[in-house]
Amino acid sequence: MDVLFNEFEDMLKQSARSTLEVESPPSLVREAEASTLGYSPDLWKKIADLGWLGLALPESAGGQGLGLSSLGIVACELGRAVAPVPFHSTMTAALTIAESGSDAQRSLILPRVVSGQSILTWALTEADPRYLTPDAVQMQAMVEGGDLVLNGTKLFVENVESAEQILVVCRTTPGKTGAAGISVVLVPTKAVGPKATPLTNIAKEKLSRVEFTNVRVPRTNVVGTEGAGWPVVEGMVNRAAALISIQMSGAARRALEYAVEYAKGREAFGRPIGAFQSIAHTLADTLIWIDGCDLIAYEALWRLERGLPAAVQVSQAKAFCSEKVVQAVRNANVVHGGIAATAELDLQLWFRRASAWATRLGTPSEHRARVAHAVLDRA
Amino acid sequence: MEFTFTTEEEAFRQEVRTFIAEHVTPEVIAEQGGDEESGADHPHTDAMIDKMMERGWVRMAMPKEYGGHGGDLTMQYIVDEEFNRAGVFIAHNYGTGYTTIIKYGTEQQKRDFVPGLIAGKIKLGLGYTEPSGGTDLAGLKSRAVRDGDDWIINGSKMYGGSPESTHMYMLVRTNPDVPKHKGLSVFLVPMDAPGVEFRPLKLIKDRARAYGYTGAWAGSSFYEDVRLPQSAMLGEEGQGWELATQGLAIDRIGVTRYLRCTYRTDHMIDWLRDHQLGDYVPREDPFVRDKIAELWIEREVYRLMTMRSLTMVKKNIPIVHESPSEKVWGPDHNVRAIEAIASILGPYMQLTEGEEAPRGGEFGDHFLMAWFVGLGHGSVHAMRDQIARRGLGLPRG
Repeated sequence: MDVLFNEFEDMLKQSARSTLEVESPPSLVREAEASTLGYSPDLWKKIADLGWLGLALPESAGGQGLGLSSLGIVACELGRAVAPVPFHSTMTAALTIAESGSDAQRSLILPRVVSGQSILTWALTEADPRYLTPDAVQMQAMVEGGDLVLNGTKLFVENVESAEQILVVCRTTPGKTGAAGISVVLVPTKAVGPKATPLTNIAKEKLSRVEFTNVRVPRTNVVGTEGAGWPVVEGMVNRAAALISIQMSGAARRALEYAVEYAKGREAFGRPIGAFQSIAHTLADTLIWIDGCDLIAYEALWRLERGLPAAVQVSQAKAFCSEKVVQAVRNANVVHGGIAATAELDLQLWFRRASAWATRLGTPSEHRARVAHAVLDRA
Repeated sequence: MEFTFTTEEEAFRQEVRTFIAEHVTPEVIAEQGGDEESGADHPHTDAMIDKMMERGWVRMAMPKEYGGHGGDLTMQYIVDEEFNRAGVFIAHNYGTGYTTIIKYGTEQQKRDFVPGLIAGKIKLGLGYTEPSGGTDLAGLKSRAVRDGDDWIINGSKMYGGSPESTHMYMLVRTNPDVPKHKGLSVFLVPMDAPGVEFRPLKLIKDRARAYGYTGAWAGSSFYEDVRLPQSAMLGEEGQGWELATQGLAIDRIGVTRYLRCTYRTDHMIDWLRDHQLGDYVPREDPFVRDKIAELWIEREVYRLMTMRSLTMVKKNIPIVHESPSEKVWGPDHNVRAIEAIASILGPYMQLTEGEEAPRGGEFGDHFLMAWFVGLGHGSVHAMRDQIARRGLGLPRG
């Protein structure tokens, strides 16, 4: 039992942090938010060159074959910098292809991910946003000979304009409900041209409604087993939820640091506001929460990495991080006072982005329902 | 990172579970809700603890030559966790005295105190807080003055100790002419020394719940011209602040506080799995399920914080804000838990005994004292001050 970083993990964290302090200043985030692409291609290339995109991908694809806890350390630091890169959506899809894809899919896609040439995304949620609820997936993919023909609408799809492939969750067996008949299908964006409409959001990240009208892909694009894809979805979403949890936690810790610096320098009634207990205690609580976020998120990542049962730990992490991170970045705002409501202050980048991330991949009460089932219901 | 126990540790856990299956009998469980006032004895528990001591399972991490096992903190954690899960709190495993006596005591003091503490024959009261206050600990007023080779102690202490205490681990001023933190020393004061008077203070709960917080009693103690030899001093003259803060830091972390702050959540979950109230099945109520999951997640965070401090102690990493963080998160969880339990059980919560009382009235008794665990060993407010200053570098108010 050792919940702290080992020497390698410490080194990885330090190296990611110092790189991003130089390469991903707040001005870069502002530029990316104002750009058509929504991310920084330069930064994306740099992190690919540093090997971060291949950290948890197999060596056969040019990756380093390390586990999710190492990838989590990088995700935490990217969150800390609110780095404008399509890391989370790419990793969510890439890890799923690595885990459940065919050899052909892996060798076609993963080396391009490792080198930074290929951005990926995934499309699960439709109008019914309930987390990991098979019936909420209504999108159809009809079998026509050797092809699948997709029709339907997906919401909240990230980075679809820059992505090369979308991992789409759909129904390939007509008439089936629940988890039966679900498939996960790779859809190349450029080749088939699904229609994307931007969803304007508080993070100013690239988020879209994607309409699929008679989008045709070969059946060999199914990731995992056709019609039995629900376990693939669960694996994908567990990893994605654990990664977004640690990414949020990283952002919250930086927001806390901004607030601490401000509380040391800003004076009221002749002394720094951090000397007032109302401020000091607010920030102390925030530190406790963020430490808790790190611990509970790394536990989930580590268990996923080791192949241990982890669904409950993922839900614990996501429920806790979603609530505490939102409260933490709000506390950072409140300590700053009115200036935090202005676009001038860099802190707003952390507030907007971390708060948006918290809404993804299941609400706290949905995750708590899964935890409650595990602790209260006898098998 | 390594979030699971080693194979050896898991094998040891199995050994502890086997022991528990054999020795934690219904008689032992029945003794856990004793009443200190009536002096109820615990013959079955005592016999079980003797068997644990034969195995070296009480205070495992203490050195062998003083009656411990020379074991590992993680092994100690496993023993405590398993016994707690079985409903038995091993009080012998808790408290400041052992660790500071091992670290700062003379050879004679180690031999005089540690085996007795482990065997439960010596019971130390914590003599920090005084009638005038406790948060400004260094401002305490009790004094010890040299008289030849002896010391003469005058003063009073509040809340520390119980009628069962044999000694007071007492922080006093030995030098009024230096800055207040520098003029303090610790004495191990026998409660039967001439001039010592202990006055019990009845607490608002009536039963000890042996694995609960304190018994039904605390106390104030008064010291009038109490004469002690130099050998009663722990550590050196003027070293009292270091001993007190080290001891408090030790008491703020670790398995005991974690278990004491989380077992009510665990017990409520155990109860919910198998019980209903008339036709109402609380575990099927979405409100109850959401609340219980929230509490469970909080206790998991606390477990991980405990693992963090264990890791730090084992790796010799200095603890900065981590122990006060645990001392905020745990007690605050404890209060949120009992209030959530109250909102689940409704009128059943208030019961402290009788057949209608869930778990024999444990929750009612606990409700009365849950808030109190935020005060002992430094209030949660004082802890937040420490986190702000040490962990965040914020200026003193």
